Amino acid sequence: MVTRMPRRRGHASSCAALLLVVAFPRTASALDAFEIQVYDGTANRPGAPGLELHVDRVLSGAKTAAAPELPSHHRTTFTLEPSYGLFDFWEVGGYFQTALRGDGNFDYAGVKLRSKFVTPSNWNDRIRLGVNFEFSIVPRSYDPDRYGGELRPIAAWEDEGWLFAANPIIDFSLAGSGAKEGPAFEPAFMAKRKLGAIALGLEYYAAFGPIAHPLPWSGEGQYLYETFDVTSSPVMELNFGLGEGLSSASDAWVAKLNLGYVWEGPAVAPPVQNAHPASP
Amino acid sequence: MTHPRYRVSVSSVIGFAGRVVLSCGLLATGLALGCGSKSERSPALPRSLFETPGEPPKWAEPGDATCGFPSAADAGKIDAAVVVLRVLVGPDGAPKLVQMLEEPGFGFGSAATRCAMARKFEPGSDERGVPIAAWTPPIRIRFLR
Repeated sequence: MVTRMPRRRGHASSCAALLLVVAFPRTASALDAFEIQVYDGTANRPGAPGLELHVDRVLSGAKTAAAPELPSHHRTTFTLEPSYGLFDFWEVGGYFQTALRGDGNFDYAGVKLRSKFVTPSNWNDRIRLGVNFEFSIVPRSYDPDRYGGELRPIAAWEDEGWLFAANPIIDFSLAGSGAKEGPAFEPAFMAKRKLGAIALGLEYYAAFGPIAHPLPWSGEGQYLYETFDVTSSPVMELNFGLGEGLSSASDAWVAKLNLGYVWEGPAVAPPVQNAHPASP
Repeated sequence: MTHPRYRVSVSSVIGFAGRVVLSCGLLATGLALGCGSKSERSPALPRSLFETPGEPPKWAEPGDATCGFPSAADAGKIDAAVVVLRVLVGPDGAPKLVQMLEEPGFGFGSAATRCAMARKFEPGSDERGVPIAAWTPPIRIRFLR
């Protein structure tokens, strides 16, 4: 409720909208708190199931949020991500999200389903391409628009010493005010240096807001993570990262941990070549 | 790593059908979980966001809930405004977090947050009277000049 003098109403309304965005940036326009990872274009082999656990903690974050969202300070999220390889080029998966809030209560925080298509493993030794489609249903306290999705192109380059990946994500809402604002641009990049059984790297995540009218710098989500990976096992994944928010709308410090395991798929007999009938 | 090619056979067709059924099951389970959930919290956790089993927290000094006027509102020539918020108060009475319920812009939300975070509260308590961390009921903060 506001009481004001009648002059310059239009200008004042614009200021109000801007101040609202700057003072209380919505988490919905910020980055996905449950899925802090860059896809590198790999997929489970056909018939192989996998399971990942994402644990992300906001060590120091926003202490204020506009309802129905809740402040992110000291929030820890736990996300289970089962996956399954349908073909060499197609993996499906899902996310089951929960959160331990800063006030100590534990929440169900939504579910996501995804379908990832990648170039087959024998397509190129170093380059991998792909695209991921995702659909999400999230409680309003974690996404006021509730229904959404993402289109995530994937490009990766890897050799014996390095891995680079880029995901220029298009995030969209299927309901609420986010649907009217249109799709948002949320790019993510990764660079890793392999050092024997471990890898050190940097991951960058950004949320520039709706493509039609991007947010000002102060309203954008911007994070840089220093990461540590254990790469000694081909079926296990261990990724730890410490992220620093680079803009005022970002949480100051976020820690992330990804633990994953992929079961070997069913053995497939190699193609028979030069077969001859057995001699008696 | 290369994978051998699939050959079209009865077993591969059955295998593909099995994967499709499994995927559809995963999708249906996810949709059922997401669409069927009216509540935004687990029913196994009965304490909701703003319920306090004993006494909720409140201002330590009852009465005037007026805060200093934000300078950013000068451009809008605003004389008065109201902000409604809730505060998570720790067992020691210190404010921890703020959830904004209504705010008109012009810097009033930030000013009200600063005001609320600077106040001392009487902490909430459980059924036995032990201080606990809890959210206040909605607090109306007035801005006047």
